[in-house]
This record gives sequence, C-alpha cells and structure tokens, in this order.
Amino acid sequence: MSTTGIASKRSAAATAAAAAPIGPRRRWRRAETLAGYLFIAPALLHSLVFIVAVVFVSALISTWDWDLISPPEFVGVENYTRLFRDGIWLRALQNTAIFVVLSVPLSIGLSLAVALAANTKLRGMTFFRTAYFFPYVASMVSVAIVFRWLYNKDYGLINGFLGIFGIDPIDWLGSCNTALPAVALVSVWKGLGFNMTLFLAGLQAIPAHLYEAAQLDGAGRWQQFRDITWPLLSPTTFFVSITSMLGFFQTFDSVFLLTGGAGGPERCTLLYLNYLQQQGWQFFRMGYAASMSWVLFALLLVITFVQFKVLNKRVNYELG
Amino acid sequence: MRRVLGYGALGLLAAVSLLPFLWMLSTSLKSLDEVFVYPPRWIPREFRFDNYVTLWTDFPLFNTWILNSFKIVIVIVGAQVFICSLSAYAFARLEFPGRDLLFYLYVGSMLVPDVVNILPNYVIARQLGWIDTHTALIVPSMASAFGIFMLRQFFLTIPRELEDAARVDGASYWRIYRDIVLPLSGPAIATLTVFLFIWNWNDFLSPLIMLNTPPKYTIQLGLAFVNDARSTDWNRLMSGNLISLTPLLVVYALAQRHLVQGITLTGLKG
Repeated sequence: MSTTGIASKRSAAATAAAAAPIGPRRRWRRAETLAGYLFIAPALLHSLVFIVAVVFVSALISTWDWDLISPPEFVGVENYTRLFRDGIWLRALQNTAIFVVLSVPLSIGLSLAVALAANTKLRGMTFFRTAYFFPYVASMVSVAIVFRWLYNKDYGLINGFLGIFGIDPIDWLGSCNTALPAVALVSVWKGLGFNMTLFLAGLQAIPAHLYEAAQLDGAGRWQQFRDITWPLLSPTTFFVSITSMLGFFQTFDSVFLLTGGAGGPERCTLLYLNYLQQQGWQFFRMGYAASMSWVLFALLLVITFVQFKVLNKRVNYELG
Repeated sequence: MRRVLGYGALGLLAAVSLLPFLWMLSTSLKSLDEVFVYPPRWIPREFRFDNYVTLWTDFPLFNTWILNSFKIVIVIVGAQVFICSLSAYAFARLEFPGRDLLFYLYVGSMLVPDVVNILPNYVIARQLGWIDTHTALIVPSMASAFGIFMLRQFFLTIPRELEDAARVDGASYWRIYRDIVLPLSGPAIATLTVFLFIWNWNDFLSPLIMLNTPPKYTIQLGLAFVNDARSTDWNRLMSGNLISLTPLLVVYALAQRHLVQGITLTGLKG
C-alpha cells in the first residue's frame, strides 16, 4: 500500500519501542516461540511467494528477452539500456512528469481548502464530509464512464454549461492540449476526499488556544492561517505531498478508461503504467515491461528521497 | 453573514463532488432520444425506469459479473482478516526470535510499489494455470503487509490484563486469540474489511490482466467492456454504473466512521 508506507514506518518504530519485552515469562518461552511461528506461518508462506519470490522473478525476467511462448533468452541489461533509446518510453515518462506536476499541487491545494471549509462547527457538517469523501469510494470505471459523458464534445454537460457564456464546444478528451489536464482533473477530483480526511485530522490536532491567543492579539484570518495553521500542518502537508506523488506517478485506470489503453489522442495521455501494460500485455515483451517497472521503482525512490531532503527541513514537528 | 458564506462554500464543494453522480442518475432514467438533447436537461421529461430492466436482459452477463465480484471480494476479505489477524496477534503479543526483524520487513515491503508485483504475479499465475480463473485474483490478495500492520497497531492498544489473567488460568494462545483478542477487535476488523471491500470491488488492473473471457469478468471489467462495446448507449451504461455502485454505497453508509478512522490511524497517527 503506497499511500500508507512512509507513515507506517515511522509509527512502527514508535510502537515497537512501546511493546518492549515485559516481565519474566521464561517458563512459557518455548511454547510461546512455537505458537508465534505457527501464528505467522500462513502469512509468512504467502509472503514468501507474493512478496519475496515475485521480486526475484521480476528482477530475473527483466534480464530476459521473453514473449511467454518461446524460451527466454538472457540479454543482461539490454532491456534497461534500450529504454533510454525508446522515444515512446521517454514520451510516456514526460507525460507522467507533466501529469504529476499538474496533479500534486492541485490536489494538495484543493483538499486543504476543502478541509479548512469542513473544519468549522456548522450544522450538517456530517453530510458535507460524506459528500466530499464519496468520489474516493466510487470505482474509477464508474467515474470514468460518467466523465467521458460529461466531457463529450457535442452533448456533454460541461460544454453545455460553457455554452451559456458563449464558449465554443471543446473536445476535452479528443485534443492534445486538453486531454492530459482533463484526465488529471478527474484523478484529482476522485482523490480529494482521501487527502481531505488527512488534512482534517491534522487541523484538528492543532490546539484551539493558539487561535484564541492570536485573536486576542488582533490577528486576522489570513494571519492565523499563515502563522499557525500552515506551519503546524506541515507534517500532514509533507505526508500528503509524498503519498500523492507516489499515487499519481502510478496512475493507470483513469487514462485507460478515459482516453484508451494507447493513451490517445496521439499518445498525448500515454502514462508510464499504460505504456508498461501495453508492452507487457499487448506486445508480450515481458522482459521489457519488467525492466520498466524497476526503473519506475528506482525513480520513485530517488524522488521520495529528494522530497524528504528538501521538504523535511521545513516541516515543523513540534506537535507531533 | 459569515455563516451564509460558509454554507455557500460548503454547498458549492458538495455540488462539485456529487453532481457527476446525480448526472449519472439523471442520464440513467432517460430515453436514448432524450440523452442526446442539447442543451442537456437535468430532469427527464419522461422517466424510463425500464433502463434498469432492459440492462439485465440486454447484457445477460451483468448478473454473473456482480456475483463474480462478490465471490472474489468475500473470499479475499475472509482470508485476509483471518490470516492477517493471526500474524498481527503474534507480532503484537508473542515473543519469538526474529519477530521484530520480520515485522520491519513487512513494513518495509509496503514501500515497494504494486507495479513491481503485477508482472511476476501474472507470470506465476500463468505457470500455475490460473489465467482466466478467479484464483489468480484471490490467492495473491489473501494476505497483505497492510492488513498485518493495521491489525497489529490495534492489538497493541488492547489492555493486556485480560490476556494475562487467561494465561494464568491456563488458556492456550489460540484460545486467547479466538476468545479475547478477536472479540475485542471489532472496530479494527471492520476498518480492514471496509478498505479491502472497496479496493477489491473497484480493482481494475488485476482483472484486466488475469481474466480473458466475459463470463469470468468482475463487474468493473464487465462495465468497462460494455463501455467499449456500446459506447453510445449512455442511459443504460449509467444504470449499470449505478447498480455497480450500490454495494459501495451500502458499505460506505454503514462504515464511514471506520473509513475515516482507518485513514487517520494508519496514515498519520500510527
């Protein structure tokens, strides 16, 4: 689960320390050891195959030229070196970078705005929060079908609305200029409720007395946001920016369902995972697809590391 | 005045979140002629509830797809709750050599993106002859580091006294797990169940890769298939869409609190 990984690691360290061994229970030690291994045996067996073995299988396949049918041929690192000469791969990488750069700030800004609006004690707030979270629960297939219809050039609701202001119909998903932002908008919209929930939790952890003191000092709303909310919310913002980056980098469904598996029009919306799926399951270049997944993994590690280095300095952990 | 502005902003945001779904509902109740009326109409002139009936006869596999999805999701949830809670109990309460190392390996494994696993999972499923069977979707998802981690974090918050007392009375670890820990873990199990239900019900990439023949499809794959094959049949696409959303709506209505707690518990607080 990419959305929880980093925070989990941090909190696991804290809880492991809290769960340090207690009291002398030597008599039961051997029975306890045996019970421990028996209890974890099913999960361990499962993860030996689906966590450990798959990684080795994937690494091995990435050194093969293999179409699943003829016997694999060992090609060393050729799959990896070929990637960097593959214009379409570079195109997909570039599209993905644009997609992430469009989506991450938009998602953070909007979900923070929604969380701020939803963090007031007005009546009926439960309804509003339920509404904001619902798109996260819906499936991308359902969402994509309705957005394909909303984005429709001739009959879509969006062009119908813009038509009121005399704007000519736009071919949202059919033209290169608008297709990628249109897909990004759907992805951002769908994930908004999840990030909002995280921001809400962060906002509620800020002590109310800080705002009371600021009001006494005559600080306005904007000043309160700038000097209290924003700095004290920085751990949440940091976390959301990392998980969002990881999530948007691995977008597959929305493109496949909105503009097709080939990332149309003219590969303008072809994202990294879509190209990987195309290579693996349409052209059956298993080795090539496997090497693509490893390059993506390495890239994500590097970007996450850089984010940690650059952003962590500005994060205020005083409350955490 | 401030209150009016507040409600204005909240209402606008709610509209942005919900309008696509209301438009789905509106379109699903229209005749095909009215679907293509321009400018679009929100309330149909004539309500065509029969879209919800003809859908099942026109796409005879719709039923099968929904049943397939239920079957897959229920087996995955059952297996994960059982297998993950067993390990989580051991990681939270029992002491055995290598425990912490193993636990950290699990936590670390959550950092590996899914994309690395998809291809080898397919190759392994193929070697085992699982392609185009539901086994290919179920078995890889029968346990997860996320489930183990989430349940362990919860088990650590259960007071130890009850278990220690049971130990002194000579209860086995299995009985403590079954009669004390599990009954006290309702909220955590509910949270895990809700997340697993949503993720697996909505999963698209794995069924797309693993399944080939329409009778085996899950509801998501089936809908996408219909979306491709009958892309202008908007009214019935939307009614199928709404039917596929119903189980999610029910789960969401019943367990919204657990979802929010789950996100904040595993996402930030630990």
